[in-house]
Amino acid sequence: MTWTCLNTEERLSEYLEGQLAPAERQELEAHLQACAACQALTAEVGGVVARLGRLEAEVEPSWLVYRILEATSGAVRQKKESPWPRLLPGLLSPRFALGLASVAATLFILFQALGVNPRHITANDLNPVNLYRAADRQAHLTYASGVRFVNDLRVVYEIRSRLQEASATPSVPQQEQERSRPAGTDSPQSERKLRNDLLLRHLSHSAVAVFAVLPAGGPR
Amino acid sequence: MELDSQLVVRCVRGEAPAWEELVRRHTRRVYNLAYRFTGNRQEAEDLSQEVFLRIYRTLPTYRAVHGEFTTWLTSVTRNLLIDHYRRTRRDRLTDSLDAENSPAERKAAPGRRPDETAAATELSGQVQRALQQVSPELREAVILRDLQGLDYREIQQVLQVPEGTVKSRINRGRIELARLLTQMGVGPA
Repeated sequence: MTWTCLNTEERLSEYLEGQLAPAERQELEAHLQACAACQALTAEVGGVVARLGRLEAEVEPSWLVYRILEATSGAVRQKKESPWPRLLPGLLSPRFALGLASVAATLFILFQALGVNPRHITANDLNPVNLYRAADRQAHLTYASGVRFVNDLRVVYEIRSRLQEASATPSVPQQEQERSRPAGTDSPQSERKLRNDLLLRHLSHSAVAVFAVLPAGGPR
Repeated sequence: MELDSQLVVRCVRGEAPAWEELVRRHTRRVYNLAYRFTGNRQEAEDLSQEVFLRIYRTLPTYRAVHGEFTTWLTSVTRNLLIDHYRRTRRDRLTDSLDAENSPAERKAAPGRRPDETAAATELSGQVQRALQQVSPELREAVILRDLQGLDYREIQQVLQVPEGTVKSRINRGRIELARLLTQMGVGPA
């Protein structure tokens, strides 16, 4: 097969990149020696490839990156990085808001329990010794008022039951009546008494529980 | 330095700094491909933005197993360029006149010595003018090979044509370009 100019043209890039098989390379080079036109073409194409390789990258405008960032993620960082732009999205997230709310609630409960008034907070308030004393005092006050309340309830209950006893059956004691009462012989009054009794007990239990958490009244 | 694929993972997780790094890394590459293909700086700027917008929106679809991030980026860029070309079809002659070239407009690239700037600018302009006269098919092949430095396999992925076609287009594009430059009086290097 005779190597033609067309062959040279078709295989030129491969030749320049050293990808031709030895046999083909020989044929091409032999042709080049005999053909001025192909010689010139080879030189030109070789030159272009070299030129393109040396061409430096075009520099994009300095604002292009920022324009792209703005159009995409919408987050544009200033060159002098200030922490605020990065913090702001975080501040506005629901997670942060909830966290803030729970911290505030905790602080509120703490202040109440420790007897610290958040409006008139002083450095003295935050002294650990004072905090302990305040907590201690608060605990005792709470306990005391709880005990007082239960006692009050019990007094009320006792008075009531005595009154009911007096108006119902005078001689039979309360407990005997409850124990020996058969199913079918419930009198309306004893039933009411039982109900009230249970109600009062229930109330007193929940009242103590509630008052243990709330701030106690009385002298500070 | 973090790999592109790692940055992509972080981007998908919502880390804005990772996206910013990705944009900074690849803006010049995208801009150059767009500019060399269109011959117009403003179009290149607009198209670059479109490219990154599309990448940003389809980022979760990128899988490192399918290939390099740069190959994907180049594919997206090339497809947008072809779409743009078809929408704004121009006469080949007016293209060569439209191409921006005046040294006054062009600022010196950083890192170039002053005496080199003028000559380099001139050459860059001449190459650009010649490129505009090459048909889009051949033009993109030469740009991808000789300006973007992609290997044959990558170009095949970007152009979605057989390797034989890739080689053929590169070859014909180079010959075309060489002939044009010779006509313009730009001798071999």
